[in-house]
Amino acid sequence: MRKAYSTILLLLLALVTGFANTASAADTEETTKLGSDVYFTLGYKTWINTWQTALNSYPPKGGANIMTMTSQSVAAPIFSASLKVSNFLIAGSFMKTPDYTFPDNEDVLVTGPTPTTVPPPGLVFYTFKTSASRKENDINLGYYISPSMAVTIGIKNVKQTYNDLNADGSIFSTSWTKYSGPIVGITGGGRLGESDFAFYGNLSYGILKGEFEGDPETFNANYSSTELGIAYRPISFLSFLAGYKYQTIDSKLTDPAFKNQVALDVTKGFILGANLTF
Amino acid sequence: MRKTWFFSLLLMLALLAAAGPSMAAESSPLGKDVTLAIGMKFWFNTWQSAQGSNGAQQGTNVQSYISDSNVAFTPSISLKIKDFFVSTSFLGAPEYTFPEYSDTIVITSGPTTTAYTLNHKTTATRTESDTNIGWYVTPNLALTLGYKIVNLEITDKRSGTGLLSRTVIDKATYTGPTIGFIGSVPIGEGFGLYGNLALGKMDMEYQGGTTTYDADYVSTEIGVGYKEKSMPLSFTMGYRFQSIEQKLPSYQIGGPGTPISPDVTKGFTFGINLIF
Repeated sequence: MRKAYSTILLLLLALVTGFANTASAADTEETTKLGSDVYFTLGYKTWINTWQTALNSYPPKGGANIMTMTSQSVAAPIFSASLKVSNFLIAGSFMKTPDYTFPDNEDVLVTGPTPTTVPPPGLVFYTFKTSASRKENDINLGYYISPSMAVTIGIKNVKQTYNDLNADGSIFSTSWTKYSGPIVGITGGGRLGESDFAFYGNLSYGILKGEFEGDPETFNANYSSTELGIAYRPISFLSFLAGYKYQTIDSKLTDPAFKNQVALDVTKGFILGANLTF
Repeated sequence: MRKTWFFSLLLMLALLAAAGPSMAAESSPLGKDVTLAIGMKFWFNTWQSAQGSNGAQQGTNVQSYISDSNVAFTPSISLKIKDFFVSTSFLGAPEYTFPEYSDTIVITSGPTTTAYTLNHKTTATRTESDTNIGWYVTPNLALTLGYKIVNLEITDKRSGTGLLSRTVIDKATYTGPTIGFIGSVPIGEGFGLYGNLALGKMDMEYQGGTTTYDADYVSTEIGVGYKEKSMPLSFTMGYRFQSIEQKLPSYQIGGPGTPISPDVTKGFTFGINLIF
């Protein structure tokens, strides 16, 4: 989310663990090149997602509420790598998105307390034109409690950069929001019958710390992410996948004027990927 | 191997309340290849709702608010015959409460424009129901086709210094077809991983209104299930996310795309299923 006329959000993770899981589900010792019980996987995904972010009002000028806006779809690239040794896993991923664009929104800003008579210029209908981008990364450690499922623990970092735009689309100002913190999750998968297809899924949940640019005060943010889909392995070292992924961040506003309101970020959409396993 | 498939199927049942076939041949009292499942799921969820503003008084935007946690309950029943099944479920919940919020509004009377602070205190209820038919592509993956109905009633108590207090009640219904899949993977010792996904195109109407809005629906759940060997019971624990996006073309004042009013419910689920 974005502080007082800035925006929000984040995303991604299950990705890496999803890759690792999908690969391991269909791997056998015969395909391992790095040694017995050692697998190294490189992955690439494209996440065709929309971003619902939040723009909190500026109390008292605009009241104390949360405006929400949802972007056009973008294709976000996600790179990942994972190493599985025996029943243990280490995996990491990175995402850097192009700019998201949002519909304009408008709010009333009034100087001074209300009720009051406010002839212009004390009264302003302000239009917000916004674009934004995200960078995200995570690293996870995992343990396979069975050949088809692992539990994971990791760290997630999200940086959102928001652009306030002029009427002509040029950038008026830029600000950022950061999130970071621990996450836990599960990841699993298995073959569909005797075919080369597999079902995979993952879930992660975390409590992150949020930070607005220029504000020393941090805030709590709950994080959740899920991905599930179908993977296809035509040859031993290559797999493809198609699925659906969503991610949410609930930012708890600390300004007393907001009375415990929560601003929600949601990124969701279809995801396509490929993995190379060595 | 057979046991593996059996458990995998029971996990899927726990999801969509779709039953597994493997037990049918020997043990189902309902007959060969016939399985009946009855389930109850509890969903510890929060609800993000939203409303469009009055553009002339508040500016044109969509304001959202997120409820305190609530526990929804979902009874379900499903019947599986060979590789096909039909299932139905219902969702109900106690009243949701939302944090208070406020907005600055302006009212013009003649040459005078006055600004006020309008306070909102909101509560709401929701019920949902769906019916699905499905086909098992493999013993641990099924494709589904269904129909979903969501009813909302949102009560907004509005007040402010210098303003008349009033209560506004909006009733709305989403309806539409959904498609999806459910899958599961056994992980040993009676446990398994399950997941499902459903997507839909819905219509939304306010009670007494004349406009129909388009809305995109998505729901997904993933978790772990456990099948009790000695009893016809299974248990599940997972996380469920559901989103309905109402499109508001009349709120388009510039920029790309159509403004959206989101409805997001999400949280952990716990379920129990009886299998006959």
